[in-house]
Amino acid sequence: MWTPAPMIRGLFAVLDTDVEQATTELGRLGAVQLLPVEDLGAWASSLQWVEAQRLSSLYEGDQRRVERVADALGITLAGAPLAGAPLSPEGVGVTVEERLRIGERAVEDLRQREEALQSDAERLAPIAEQLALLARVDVDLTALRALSYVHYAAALVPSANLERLRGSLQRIPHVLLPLGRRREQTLVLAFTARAHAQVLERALASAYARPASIPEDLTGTAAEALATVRDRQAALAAAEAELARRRAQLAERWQGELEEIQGQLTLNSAALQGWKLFGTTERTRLIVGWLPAQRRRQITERLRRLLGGRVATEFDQPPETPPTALRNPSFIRPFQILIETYGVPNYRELDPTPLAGLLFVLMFGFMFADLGQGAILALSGLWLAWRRQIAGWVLAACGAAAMVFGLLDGSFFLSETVVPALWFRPLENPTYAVSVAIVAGIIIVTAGVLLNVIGAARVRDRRRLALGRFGLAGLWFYWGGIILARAFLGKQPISLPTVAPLVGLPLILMYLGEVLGRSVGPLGFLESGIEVFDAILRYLSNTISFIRLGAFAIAHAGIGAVFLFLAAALSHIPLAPALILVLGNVLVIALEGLVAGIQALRLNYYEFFSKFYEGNGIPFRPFKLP
Amino acid sequence: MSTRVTRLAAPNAKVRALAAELLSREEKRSLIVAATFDDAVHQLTGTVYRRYLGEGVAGLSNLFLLEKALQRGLVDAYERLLWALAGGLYALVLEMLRRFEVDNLQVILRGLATAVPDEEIRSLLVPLGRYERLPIAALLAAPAIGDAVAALDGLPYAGVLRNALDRYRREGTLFVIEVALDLDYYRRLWSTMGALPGRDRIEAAELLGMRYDVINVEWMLRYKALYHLSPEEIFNYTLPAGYRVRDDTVRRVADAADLREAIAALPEPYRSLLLPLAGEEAPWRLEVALRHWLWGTARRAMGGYPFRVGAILGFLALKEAEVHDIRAILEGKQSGRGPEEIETFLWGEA
Repeated sequence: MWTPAPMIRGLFAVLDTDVEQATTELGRLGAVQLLPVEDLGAWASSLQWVEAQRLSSLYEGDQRRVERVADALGITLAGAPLAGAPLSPEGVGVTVEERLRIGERAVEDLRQREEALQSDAERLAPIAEQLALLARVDVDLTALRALSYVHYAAALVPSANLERLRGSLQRIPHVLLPLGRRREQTLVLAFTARAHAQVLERALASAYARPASIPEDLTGTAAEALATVRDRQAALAAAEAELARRRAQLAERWQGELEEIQGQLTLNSAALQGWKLFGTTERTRLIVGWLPAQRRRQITERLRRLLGGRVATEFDQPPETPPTALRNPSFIRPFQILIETYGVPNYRELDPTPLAGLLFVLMFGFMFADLGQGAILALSGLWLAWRRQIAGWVLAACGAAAMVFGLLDGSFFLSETVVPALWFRPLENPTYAVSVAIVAGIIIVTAGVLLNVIGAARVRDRRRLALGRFGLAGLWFYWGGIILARAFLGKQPISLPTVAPLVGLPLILMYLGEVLGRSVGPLGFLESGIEVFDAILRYLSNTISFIRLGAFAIAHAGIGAVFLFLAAALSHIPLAPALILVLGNVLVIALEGLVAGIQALRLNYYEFFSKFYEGNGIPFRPFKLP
Repeated sequence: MSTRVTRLAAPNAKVRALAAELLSREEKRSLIVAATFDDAVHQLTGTVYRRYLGEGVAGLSNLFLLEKALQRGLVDAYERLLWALAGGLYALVLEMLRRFEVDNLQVILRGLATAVPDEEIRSLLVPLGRYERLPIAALLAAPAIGDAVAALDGLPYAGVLRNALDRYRREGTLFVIEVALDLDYYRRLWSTMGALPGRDRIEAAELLGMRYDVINVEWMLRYKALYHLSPEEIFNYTLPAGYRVRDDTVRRVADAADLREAIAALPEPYRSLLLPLAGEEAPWRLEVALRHWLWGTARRAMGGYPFRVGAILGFLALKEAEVHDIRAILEGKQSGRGPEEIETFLWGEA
């Protein structure tokens, strides 16, 4: 519980025909963190399983194809792997390819028809707009086209160029009729004598006019042509609706199939992530990985039984640092999130989860002491835990601690009159609350230093153990300082012969420890002095930092008093006191609960962990199949 | 009057400070008479342009890099001036700076149309620093002009380019796109100027109008003599604003039978300025004559009563002419032309 699980490296050689079964079993056990076969040494680099790598990239492509088909049909895929299906990365690849091709063909056909409809709709929209403008002058398109002596042009001119266009036509007889404006463009009808047709066309072109796009097959008046276009648009809309129905049918038909394909791909793709690391010879597959030493027998026996003994195993302890597998009992495991957020312990480090979890809960309870609110938090936590949210257990524990401290402080939903205080009320005795917090701080800082001493002893680092800033010399200085502070506060006489052994001597030892750990030279001496000075400040500031425990406990009670006062002041308004008390409690649970959690976390991380914990381990990530 | 003095005091102080950095006549002369291209570059490193040329540029024979450095100097003058401006005047000078953005856009579109490598296109762009708005990476990544236009959504160029795109696809010439961008830009600049208050607007309209006149005359003569465009095209491809060149002038020039008749149709002072050059075989001389005249008006605008918009616009015109002249001198030196010949290319005084 206090140290990471001892790890060993395992090599499993299985026949190529057994690789699916072996992968499934290892994935089910979830006890081996796979390593690339090259990690066995330079000799193994030629054993890489290239085919598995090729298959893996093929699967990635297939996954994307499934998503594309699903997107095209507007299907949301569940994304769940196919439970209980046998592994067969090579076989699944072939069948998936065939099935996907059919789906893609159906989708492509749909897409092409939709695009054709959209293109027609886009073509008709401006025609309808232009005809609507032309319809204002009741122009007959057939008559316009039949003009013999007059040349006409219907064009969209950038509105900014209209005046210039008018000016450029001054030398020829003409009529220029602006019919209406649409998005910076003006639709004009221009007429001139047939002899000046070229001039008119050049003028329009140089004014960046675009010919109105009215197809020749539209005849009659503009209003009649507009009606024809509207009919065509309606037909297009009907065709689009038909396509939408077809899409819905396809979606219904493919929903299940795509989910099944995706499930197969997800499962086999996960296996391929492992296979990519496997080694290969002509008939065997080599599986390398870290595993907890205590599970060596279990894994070996399960594979032997499954494969009928066709597995060769070898275990060793290479010089590389293994990943860290924490091994806490199930009731402590939820608190591992506190450690993982900071960084998992390295392989040779102590695992602070039990202590950190306990301190977090106690500190939270002290700051958020309220029997009723704690119960709410505890119930919320249990509900989250029931919903498989692991953090729910942490919340439940915090709630329980808040209930216990609520009883001790006599606080129930902010009121201090409902339950008696078994210990003390922070608002009535704030100095005592702060004193308790300081004492807690001293105990926690001391615990941190002691854990550092134990850690140094485990790795046989004598300098850190004896002379370290947070070693025995540091502990000596810290407690010497506490004794002096007590004497000072108790107005007892303090003399140099008292100070020297209590803090002077350990400071010299700490300085010596720093010097020995650095390169010799003036800079080394200076840096050592700075480090020791920093340690003094940290001992002081870290201890004082715990005042926040008392301060938040007082604040909690204070805020409660304010809401109670408000409720009493508004007691003449019906329902107002109840409303204020409910809102006050909700506000306190939400805001203060969050703040107390943050403060408990920071006291753990900065004041406690900083004494002994490095948290630079590599987390153990065993191979698992979904 | 007093509010105008208060408003224009700081900008004018800034303009005077920036004007002090313009090359003196002696400095410009020493560039013109420098024995070689390297000597001219060396002379340049002794001027305000040193800060844009960078260390070690003196030995460079890369005219292209030098021209880029000079452009940086010009943009920098705009930026430094903008710091001292506010309100409508700020908007006007900023819009004038946008001319470089339009140039950059035209360079990019030209590069895309002719499949020039990205890096080469990038090297041709004027760096606009904090005033850069073009999505250059997206534009360069565009496979075709149409895609580049789509990448300009949100910028004022998108609409006008979408209109021009249709013609570009039909006719396959970038001319229609470039003209559309130019016309749109100058329209916007004129409208920004129109938002200035009272007296400021009158002064700005005069100076900017003269600039528009020069641009219109240059364009009309080019359309007429080089592109042989029809009168209605000439009319549509010129600016609808100016100081002395009005629509009827454009019509007369557009209808003229030849270049001499076209110049004769221009109002004064352009007619007297250009008529003696009508028979010249090198049309660029007409442009130099016009720009030299514009330089003179800018210099006059810098003198007299100080609290005027004219001084600001005048300074920018002088700075632009100076950068042009240095480029002309360096190009002349590199191609081995003598001082007298180089002087014929200069917009400012030699």
